[in-house]
Amino acid sequence: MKSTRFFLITLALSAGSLLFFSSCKKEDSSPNNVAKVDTAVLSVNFSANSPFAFFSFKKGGTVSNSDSASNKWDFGLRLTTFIVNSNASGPGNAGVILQNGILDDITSIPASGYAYDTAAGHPAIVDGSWYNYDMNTHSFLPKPGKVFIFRTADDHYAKMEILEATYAPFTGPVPTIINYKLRFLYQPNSSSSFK
Amino acid sequence: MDSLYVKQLDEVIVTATRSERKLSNVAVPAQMISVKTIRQSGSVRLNDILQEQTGLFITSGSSSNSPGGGVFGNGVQIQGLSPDYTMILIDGEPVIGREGGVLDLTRIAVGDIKKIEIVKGPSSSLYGSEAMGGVVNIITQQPQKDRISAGLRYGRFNALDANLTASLKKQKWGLQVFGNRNSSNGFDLDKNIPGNTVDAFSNYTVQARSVYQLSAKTKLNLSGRYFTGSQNNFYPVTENGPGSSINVSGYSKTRDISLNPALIHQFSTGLSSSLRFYFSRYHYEQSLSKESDHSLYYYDLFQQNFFKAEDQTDWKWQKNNFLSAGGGIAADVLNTNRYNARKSDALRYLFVQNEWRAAGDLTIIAGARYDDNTAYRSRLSPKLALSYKPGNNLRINISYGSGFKAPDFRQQYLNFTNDAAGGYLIYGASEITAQQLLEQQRQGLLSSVLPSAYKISLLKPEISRGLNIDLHYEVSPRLSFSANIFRNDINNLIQYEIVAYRSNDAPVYSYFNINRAYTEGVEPQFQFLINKKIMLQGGYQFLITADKDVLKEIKAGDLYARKLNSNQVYKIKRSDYAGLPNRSAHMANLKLFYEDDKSGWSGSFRAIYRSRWGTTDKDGNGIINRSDEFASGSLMLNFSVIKKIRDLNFQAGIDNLLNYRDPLNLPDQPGIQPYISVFYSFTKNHKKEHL
Repeated sequence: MKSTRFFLITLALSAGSLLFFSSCKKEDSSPNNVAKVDTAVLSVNFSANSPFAFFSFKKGGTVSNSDSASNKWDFGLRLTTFIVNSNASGPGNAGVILQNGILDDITSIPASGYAYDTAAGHPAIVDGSWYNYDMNTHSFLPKPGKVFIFRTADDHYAKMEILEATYAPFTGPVPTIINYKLRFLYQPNSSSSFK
Repeated sequence: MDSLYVKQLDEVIVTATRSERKLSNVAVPAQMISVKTIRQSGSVRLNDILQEQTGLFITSGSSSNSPGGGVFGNGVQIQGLSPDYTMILIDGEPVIGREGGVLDLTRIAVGDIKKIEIVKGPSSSLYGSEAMGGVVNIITQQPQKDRISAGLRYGRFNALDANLTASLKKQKWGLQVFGNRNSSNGFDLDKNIPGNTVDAFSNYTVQARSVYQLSAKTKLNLSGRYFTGSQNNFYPVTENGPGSSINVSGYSKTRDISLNPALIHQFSTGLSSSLRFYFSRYHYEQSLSKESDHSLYYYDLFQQNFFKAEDQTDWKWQKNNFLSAGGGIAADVLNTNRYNARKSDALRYLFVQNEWRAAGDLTIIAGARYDDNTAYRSRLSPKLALSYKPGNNLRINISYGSGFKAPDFRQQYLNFTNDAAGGYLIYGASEITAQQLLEQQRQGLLSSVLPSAYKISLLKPEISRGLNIDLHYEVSPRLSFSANIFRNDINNLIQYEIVAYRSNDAPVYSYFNINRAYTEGVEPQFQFLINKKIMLQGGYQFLITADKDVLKEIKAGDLYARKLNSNQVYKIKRSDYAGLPNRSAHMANLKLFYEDDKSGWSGSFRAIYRSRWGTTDKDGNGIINRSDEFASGSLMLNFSVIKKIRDLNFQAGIDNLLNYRDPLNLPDQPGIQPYISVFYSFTKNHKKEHL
């Protein structure tokens, strides 16, 4: 009985290492094919006055607001307002293209044409362009088929879609937190190919 | 007996041409509902009878579980056009008092209706604004020989409807008075929510009409109407977010009054003129207080005064040519706490129409109306109609017309913060400019102003162009078919858009002429007299509607959807798009009427079907495309039996036999409704008089 269990554990471990090595091998043979589909939830203040919530593709998650003056973040979101880390909004070199399409079908992304925030109040992503607001249910519905293509703050590439926007439970008259569920692919090397 | 069913085509209709014509001679799609049908169907309010007619769709009022709820009420859609674009007339004069664009049909009792005339397709060339989708004209009873009648009906939920009519007719004058009381305990579709889905209500209607023959050639008509309804409201509101609702209670009151004197003079056999005045006032009020501390939670006041003076002259200027021409002035004054001040609007208009009986089998009608307004751009509405009878049994009508709807006060002047629902703000297009919004932003009242704010401008009327091809075929005196093919193209549709965000992050809306849409479809109907006692009627409407800009986006491949559970995005095809919300692609009815004079038995069995209809977008693309964005279709079975014993009619019936309910999408549908009623009619027996 005992020996059987030991055997099974060994088998599992070796299978795991086998998988590990094989995936490394795959990475080595085709360096462009490493962007993996990932999802994350970005919790954003439901207020136009509170601080932005920052997101990093490299980290695959939220970046502390105290890092606002760094290029550790790629974009920020507050209520429904986007900022991109470059020019008027940050020290990074980020840019964004918002285009129609299906995220998985976009394999190669442009080398140029990335928009940035030219001034406060003149964001690269126009408010209202990527969601519908339902006056009756007071819900924000991200439009399907809106793909955000990012050049990150440190010149990598990522593509993203917003799956849903839901309110965290709240007790006041208006919601306090809006949770954006993001689905994205990040290219850790400098390639702009998503084949 | 047979005369009751067969001769409908010989009956006279006034709505189609604004003068009396045989139904079989009008060149536009028109239909009539007789008092007999209304009675055999056990109808009490206007929505009851209209919802059983081919191609008419009664929109559902919201539940009373929200402030202002229950007031939008039941409106009627004609040819796929919203209730906002349907004109409701009583004896030719418009009923006022629309809430959210909808005129609530439950305000109108059918107890003293002689008939209901329905004209489909744009009729603005005769009636002006709002007559885009069609016109429903309620013709009330004329004073008859000395008669008194009374009716009492009792149904589920303690629903009580009482009618009393008295009619007098002398050599030179006649008088008819009608009174109605209608009440119900309301009902509750969801026991988990405190309060009722529809709260108890009661209302009263008084209508009076007098005719006085001043001279052999001059007649004076005076009619008036008074309606008052009230409802005590109690319901929870989620003021402090989900799970922390508070209860509010209060009342809502609706009142409307109208007065309509008219002078009709016959100059000669071929020339007559009528001068009509119409005054109407509508009042709606709702007040809600918090149950906890009785502090005021919500107050809404809406008062509308409408005045119209109009003259119409009918002249038979040649043997085969009939001319109707006229003009008028109208004023509309609104006072509501939703606007920043009293608002008014003045209108002048002229209309002319000529009917040319070119040959025995061909009639051509041409007409136009010009509306000149103080608050929006003026509008010319032309119309051309042709009726051709290639044989005795076949008639083809083709009509083309233009319709318009003036931007309503709400779209122009609303200045309303909905504190009860997140604090959003709506500005009418004449209330705000982009500069003012930017100024508000500088003052810190707004957090952002969107690019759409720069498009705010004086609204234009919404316009439509409609083509109707109407075929009537009489197989035999017992069997007839008809089919109407229609297409309406609507431009300048007014819709709201977000223009800014307030500093508390609630959105700010305003109105724009942005959308373009169309509705098209076909409406076949038949009528079959199985024998002298049984009549079978059936009708069907197939309807296609679409927002043209959505179609453009689909064609360009720019519109996407999300699959229901996987969230997977895919490109929308034309076949995925279900068209405008609140429309069913298929609507059908089958009605059986029975009447036997000898035994005194009569009755009806009616089946009304409508297929699924779109409600709200759920996947973010703004259109109806996914299965969870529809309300399911419904089948309603209604029947009624009447036994006549001398002057008394006893009636029993059941509406919604299958107990169909949909609390979410049809909160005012309570399910199965059995009822019993008794109707008494007494006519003083004396010789026939002619007035």
